[in-house]
Amino acid sequence: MFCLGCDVGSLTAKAVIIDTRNDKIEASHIMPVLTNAKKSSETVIRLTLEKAGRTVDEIDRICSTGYGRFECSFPSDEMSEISCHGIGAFWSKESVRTIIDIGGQDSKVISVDDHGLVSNFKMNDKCAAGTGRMLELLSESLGLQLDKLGAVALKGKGKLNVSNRCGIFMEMDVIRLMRSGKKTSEIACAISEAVASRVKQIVRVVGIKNDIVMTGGVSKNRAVAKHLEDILNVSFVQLPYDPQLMGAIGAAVFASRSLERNIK
Amino acid sequence: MSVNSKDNVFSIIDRVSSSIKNEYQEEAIAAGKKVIGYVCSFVPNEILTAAGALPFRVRATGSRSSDKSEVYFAPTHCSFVRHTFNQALSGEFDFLDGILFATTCDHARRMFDNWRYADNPPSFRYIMTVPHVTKQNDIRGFVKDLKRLAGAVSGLTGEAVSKGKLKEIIGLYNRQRNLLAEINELRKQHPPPITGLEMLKLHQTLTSVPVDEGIKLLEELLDELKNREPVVDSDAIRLLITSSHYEDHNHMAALESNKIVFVQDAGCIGNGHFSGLVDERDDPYEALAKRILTRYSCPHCIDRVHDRLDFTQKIIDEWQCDAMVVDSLQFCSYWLSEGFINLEECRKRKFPILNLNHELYGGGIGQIKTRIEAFSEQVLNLKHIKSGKGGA
Repeated sequence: MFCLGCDVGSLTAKAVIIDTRNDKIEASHIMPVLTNAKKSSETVIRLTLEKAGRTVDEIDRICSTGYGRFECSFPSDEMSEISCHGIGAFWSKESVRTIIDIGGQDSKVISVDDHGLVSNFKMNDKCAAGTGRMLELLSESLGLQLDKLGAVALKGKGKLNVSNRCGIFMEMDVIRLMRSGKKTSEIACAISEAVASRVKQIVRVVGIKNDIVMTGGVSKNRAVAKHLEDILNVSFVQLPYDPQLMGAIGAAVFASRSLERNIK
Repeated sequence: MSVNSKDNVFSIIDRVSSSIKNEYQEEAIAAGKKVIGYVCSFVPNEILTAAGALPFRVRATGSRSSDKSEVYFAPTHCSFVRHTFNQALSGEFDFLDGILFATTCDHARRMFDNWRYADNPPSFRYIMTVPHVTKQNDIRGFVKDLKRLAGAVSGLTGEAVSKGKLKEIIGLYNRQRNLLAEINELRKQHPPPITGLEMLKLHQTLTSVPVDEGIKLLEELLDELKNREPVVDSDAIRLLITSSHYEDHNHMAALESNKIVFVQDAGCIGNGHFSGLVDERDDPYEALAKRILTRYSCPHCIDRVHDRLDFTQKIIDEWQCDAMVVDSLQFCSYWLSEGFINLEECRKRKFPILNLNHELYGGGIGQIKTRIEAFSEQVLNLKHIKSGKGGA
């Protein structure tokens, strides 16, 4: 049996195919979103199927999640990305109880129970100050590629401050620091610290229960992860799969559970 | 526009609640009545009606920006006053003959100041004093304020408020509240025959039309609801919404779906406005004062926190709510703290609660939908675990 999870977020679309006979990931794909959610889901699902060497007819059930979940191009179940990140991380590593998911548009802290089901969660408010989109914009301001931002930031010693109250204020601070000739690595470090400190506020509301993981695109930024570990005085557990895929994995897990229920 | 008796009650409610002006007001104005807007649920409609006026609870329906009013407010004033005053500055309330405020909320208080400062019509602007505590002395003081209000409104309409007339009008408003209570009883059904959005529209309609017309609409609606097909799934999550001012239909529509329905409210638009009867045996002013200050109301009355918590618990039990949503407006000082009190209380009782914070007509629907859906999934898991069915 094959189940597919599709996660169309604000910046990237992800899809995963799980072989439910052995609980293994057969194929996955991550790509930037296209002009609309329907096109994004159609393309990411097609590319994942190609990697798996399968056709959509061989997929027994699809579940979609993320902001584009209502416009999935194939008939599918829907589940919020909060539940999907929760179950996805738990399915990947059963000891996980707290998930810090920082995506393109928002950041979330999710607490799961002994079954991987959401017991509490908190999302950021509307401001993008603690999100991937802000990191993308600020890396552009610094003249860095997004995937290099974390590595450059790790070289900084943490001597500068950048506001985290508002995305625009962050950008203004970055421009001011650049004009005053500060090192790029120091500014990048300050940006990572500001994002981490912003996310800390919502972590405190939900509370921390071990094991803790980071998911979502920003989890790939080692500097933000390191600052969060330092601020929260915790160590993140590493997941066996790409943490950016957790939403799609969770959707595939929900698809397989839904399939199981229908078969029974 | 004219009142079309052949219209379905749902279409009337939909039309009246979707606009600031309505056909009932037009008819009242044509008949020479004064229309008086008011900003807070503490303003007694009975006195305005007894003085021959048509009360209208002011809302910002149709607002698409607050550009004009921004210069009058600090960034930390709530979006209700910014949007409502923007509508006022745009001439949307020019049909009003008077506008009433109450000293219940600092944000609305500033709107009163700005309304005066901008000398925006109508020229009759009045603010009534409402005590923060509800002891006997405060009720006595409030009675005097209600009499002062009656005198001021009579001065505008030219009709004196006699005790006999006031008692008669109190009877009408009690009849309206009883009918609304009957509709709320129907919401105990699984699934309820009416959604939270439809109830919001009903509440907005009742505060926009003459009381006798409201009674007719309620009677018709009650008949319709008794035979209505289910409007949501039978196993939809049943929620209690508790909040400060809420009025945006799109926001409410984003919160509800076939699987999520509000079965009761504890906010200033619904129960905060309509709960509790006025004692018809008592002196009318004293009875009005007692009802206004001691019913379920907003956190303005600081000595009634426990009454409010008891009220919400009673609703949760009787309407078999699965969870509570506190949906306050950004910067609403009352409800941000009341929301926290509710959060702590629910934590103690291990009852699921979601605290939302939104800007009136401020968009952000995607994030709101994600929050409410994730919350409903969480509540559903809890329900399944309790019933031994396991989670999702």
